[in-house]
Amino acid sequence: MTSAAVPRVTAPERRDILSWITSTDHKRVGFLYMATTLGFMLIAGLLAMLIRTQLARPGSTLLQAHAYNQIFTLHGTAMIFLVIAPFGLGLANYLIPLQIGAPDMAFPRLNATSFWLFLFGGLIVFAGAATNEGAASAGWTSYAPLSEIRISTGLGQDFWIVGLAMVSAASIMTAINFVTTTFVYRAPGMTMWRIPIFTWEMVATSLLIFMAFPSLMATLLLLFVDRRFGGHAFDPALGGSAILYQHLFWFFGHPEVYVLILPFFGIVSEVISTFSGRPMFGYTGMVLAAFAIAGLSMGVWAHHMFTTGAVNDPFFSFVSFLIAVPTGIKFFNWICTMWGGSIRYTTAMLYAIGFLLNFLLGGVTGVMIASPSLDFQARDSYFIVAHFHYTIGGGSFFALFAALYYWWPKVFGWKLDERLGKINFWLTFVGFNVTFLPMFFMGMFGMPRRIYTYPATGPLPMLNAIATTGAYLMLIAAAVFVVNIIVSARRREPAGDNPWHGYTLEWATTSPPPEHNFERLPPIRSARPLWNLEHPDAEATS
Amino acid sequence: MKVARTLFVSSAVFSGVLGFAYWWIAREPAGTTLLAFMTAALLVIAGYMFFAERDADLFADRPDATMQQAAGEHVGTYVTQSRAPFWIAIAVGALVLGLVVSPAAAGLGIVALFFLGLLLILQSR
Repeated sequence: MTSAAVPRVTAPERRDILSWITSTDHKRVGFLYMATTLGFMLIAGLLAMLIRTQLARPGSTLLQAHAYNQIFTLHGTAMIFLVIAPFGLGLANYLIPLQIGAPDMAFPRLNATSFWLFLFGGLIVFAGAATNEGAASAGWTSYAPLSEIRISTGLGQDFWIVGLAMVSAASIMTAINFVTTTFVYRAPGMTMWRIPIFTWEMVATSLLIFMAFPSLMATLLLLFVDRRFGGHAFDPALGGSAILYQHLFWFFGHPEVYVLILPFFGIVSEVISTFSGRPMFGYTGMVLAAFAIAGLSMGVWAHHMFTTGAVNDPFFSFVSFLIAVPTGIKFFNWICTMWGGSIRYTTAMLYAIGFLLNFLLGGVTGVMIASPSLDFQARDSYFIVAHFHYTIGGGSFFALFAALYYWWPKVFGWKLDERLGKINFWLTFVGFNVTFLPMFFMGMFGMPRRIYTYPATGPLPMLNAIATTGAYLMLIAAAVFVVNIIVSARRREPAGDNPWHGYTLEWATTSPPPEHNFERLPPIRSARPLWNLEHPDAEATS
Repeated sequence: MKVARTLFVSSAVFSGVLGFAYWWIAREPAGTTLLAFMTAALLVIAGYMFFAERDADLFADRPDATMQQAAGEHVGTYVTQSRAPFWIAIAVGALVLGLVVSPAAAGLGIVALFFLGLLLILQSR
């Protein structure tokens, strides 16, 4: 097989609604993915505001227990399965062919099918709220036997199961597309050791999806059989095993954490490299660290089960500690890339730096609870809520916004306003930390997660009031972002093909790119083909 | 393709070592089975890469390849529009929702998926 076997794109571009529904163009599919995830993020964010408003003071009657359970279940499910992970997949859909010089994904129809399965799966999860007993209410983990039919009797839980099965299938199909496209459809000269870090991170993410998501599919299938067809796989009262559910779920669930973060490591790498004006420090180390993280993450699933007493705590503790090593390498390389660089503090760069600070706190507290003795104290408390919000919220969420500000001109042809962007960043950064930092202390003062009210004594009322204030600050930040889009869309100042002076291949084409991606590809002689183009006399760097 | 091959082979080896270490230390059946399945699945892909793609020769893997060298016969055209993906997702949605609320809808979903599969096969020719 050679690169000559890449088919051509020849059909004329259409712009009507039907053309969007039937499009198999990776850029449109990627755009639809990202727009859908932002829509789901709006809903999940508003659900979070309900949670924080309920908890603003003790004894609040805004929500009753069952409604509260549904809301935190939908919030968690949506943020994990329908927002953060698919945003990474959507961005990669848009970028991978552009970054490797391909005209489209390897399997365009499969790609479009993935998106529609994801959309309808997500809508089915939310549609559970319209059933008699409301949406699923067993948490995003839906542990059995809590999610079994004798306890969760409503159809909402079934909607949750089948909806997520569709989303999982979509993720696996997308991963197949990413890996095949990256391995086979690279442009001539784009060797594997020249592809951008973001694409590498997506290959590692895809590998994780291959390994982890089948376990989720199996879990959902067994739970569904238990609920609808009289199975007893997870019901200890009838000979099943609730611990088996946890094994199956977390065999997916912990790698999923890295599915949620690896694409965003890639985003931050691209942004930091561009705005520091330097190539990524330790490119090879960054790539190997991504695969080390992916590999090790397959061996840590039961650190979520330390307190069950049914797992080998030292094994999982040791492997969990090991993950800090490749993650530390990444931090070292990001800092070294910035060190001595001529840094431009654009909004995207600020979000990338915000990512580093927040994710560091999330990562360090992760190392803390990798120790079983500390985990026994923190398990199911707000300390855990703070920890994973610092990794997924403070990490992925900040990188998501870095990506939006960085690649927006490529997608639309015009930039977002930088002044409003910086206001957006600072409100988000302050709001985020005011919301989630107090949660570490709530956990230490013994506040359990997933409760809809708490005692009026001690420091909890004050800490919760502070956290809710921070949440409203983030809501204002989100409003500023929407205003920024409206204001910038009215101006529509042309951004040019390469407004940030990026060196990866997506900046070599027009903004937005044509349907077939490139009119002409520059020669590819290093991981920074545009730098080579600007400096023809310099020796290729790799 | 050497890097891709190495990636899958090393992943399979890592997975096998991890699975063995887990079994040796923990003697726990659920996790051991999961890791064994993962190793087997990775071995299948690694085997395919090792044997079927052994002679793959991509211009992309040649550091000094040019676009002109890669130009060759016209092997086909990318599909840019297809109604099938949207309707496949609708059919799958009907199938899974049918399993929850109405077996008739599930049956309809299966029939629709069958015909959409046929349509895709015909479109691909």
